[in-house]
Amino acid sequence: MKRSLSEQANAGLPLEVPIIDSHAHLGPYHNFHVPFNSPAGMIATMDALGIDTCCTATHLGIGPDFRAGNDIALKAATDYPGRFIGAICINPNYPDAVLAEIDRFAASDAMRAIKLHPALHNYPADGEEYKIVYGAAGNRRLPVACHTWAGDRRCAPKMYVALAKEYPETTFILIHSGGEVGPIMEAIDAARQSENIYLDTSGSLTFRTVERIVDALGSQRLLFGSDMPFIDPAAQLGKVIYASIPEEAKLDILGRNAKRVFRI
Amino acid sequence: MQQHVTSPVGPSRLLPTNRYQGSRLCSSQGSTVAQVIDCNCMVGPSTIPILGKEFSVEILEKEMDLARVDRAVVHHALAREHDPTVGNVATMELIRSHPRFLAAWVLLPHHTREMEPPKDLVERMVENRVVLARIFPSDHSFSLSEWSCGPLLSALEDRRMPLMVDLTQASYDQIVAACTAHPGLPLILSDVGYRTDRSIYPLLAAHANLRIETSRYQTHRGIESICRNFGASRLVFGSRSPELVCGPMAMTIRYAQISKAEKDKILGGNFQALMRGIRS
Repeated sequence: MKRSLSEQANAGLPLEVPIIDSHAHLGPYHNFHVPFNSPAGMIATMDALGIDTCCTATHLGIGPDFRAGNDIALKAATDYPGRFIGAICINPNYPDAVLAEIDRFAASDAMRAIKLHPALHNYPADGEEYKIVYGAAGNRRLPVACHTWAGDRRCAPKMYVALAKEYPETTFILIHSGGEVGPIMEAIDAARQSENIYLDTSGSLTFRTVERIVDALGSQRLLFGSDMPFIDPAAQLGKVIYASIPEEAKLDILGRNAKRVFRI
Repeated sequence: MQQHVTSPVGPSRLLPTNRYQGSRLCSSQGSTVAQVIDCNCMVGPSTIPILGKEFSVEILEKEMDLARVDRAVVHHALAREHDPTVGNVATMELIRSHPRFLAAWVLLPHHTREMEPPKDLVERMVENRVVLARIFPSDHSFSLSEWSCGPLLSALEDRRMPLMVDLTQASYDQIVAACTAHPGLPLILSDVGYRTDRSIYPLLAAHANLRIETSRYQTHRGIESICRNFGASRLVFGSRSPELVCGPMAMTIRYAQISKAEKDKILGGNFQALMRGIRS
């Protein structure tokens, strides 16, 4: 009989199910030391765990140079086909470049999402430049991965209820699902109200939340995300592996849902 | 003159019947496997229960079983959130009926006479086979600095009793001062987040008596990096249950790109060595 996922994890074996990490980064970060932050360093981590593919928005891209950062993501996806797909980082503080940057990758099959970070960019999720992004993303069938944090007026999960209704063709992924255990209900409520909102498992403070989300929404609206290499993915993966939910639900979260969202 | 408060915890009453049994466990197949020890767990009723209910011994044991964790070092939530003396008694009560658990006591400096003089207190810990001291300077409103905690740290150092301190409960400078003044004290730093390398690397380089508890240390390939730079003996596995969870936190070690021997040390061997080092 095949070992359960938790038994595989207890043995430290690469997990033998399709796994797509829907939320990853790449490269160094100004705020702290990130060991092994190169594509090769991340692939070694992915191989150990059994992660097949990750969707990467580079640290440079969410930081000071979105264009250069997006080029690095594209190169990773090109150099390691099947292991990386890219998320196009957009910085709304450069309004003239918003649509141009999305269009720059129109011919690329490697860039499968758009990444927005209202907190780092100090720009509200319902700001006009972001609305341009949501519209374009819907037209181009690119999911938008949005950093969220409950209590942050720039990116609280509840802000996305109205946005998801205003842009029904756009798929919104609420990264971190609000960021903490207590406020997870705000993210769940947002997803309950809008079929085009997905939640994400990533975050150092969001342990013990997978069961709650699956109880409320079922298993098809939650994506495994690690935040690698910002955070090591092993424990992030463990949130799903050791959750008290059926194994079939784990397969949805680990890979099936992302395959659908990113059209892999 | 106010008397020191002595808890009703007496050595004869509290010695657990099924004690720590050595460095290896026998598997059902007869081969030996390394013991996995989670050195950072709390049970009991909490002011803000993370599960929406009490994190009971039964829940912890179920999570340990799922993650193949053999033993856990526990303190009772009352010791942190109500009164260390009362909570330490509660810890010993649950240890008595649950042989997989090892006792951690939460301590205060003696100045307010809420606890015994340090030497007496630590002697009683040893008599009761307590394997870990915990302090929460920020939560309990005292300073880790020498003018406050010096006598307590000296008493722990004399007995080589491991002391666990959350990084969020004291400053880096206070940690450095404690390590410097008490080089024989096995100090375990916990609640060490993934953004800390630029500070903990120089700490580990300068202080051989310092170790890191791994639960919050979710730095990408951070376990591997510390092993390469400082050796696996500087890490001890803890889950920080119930805030975090045994299985996922153990995965950080089990999937680290280090040798099996190094994993075994981190998952249990290093803490076993610390327990063996306690002077009776």
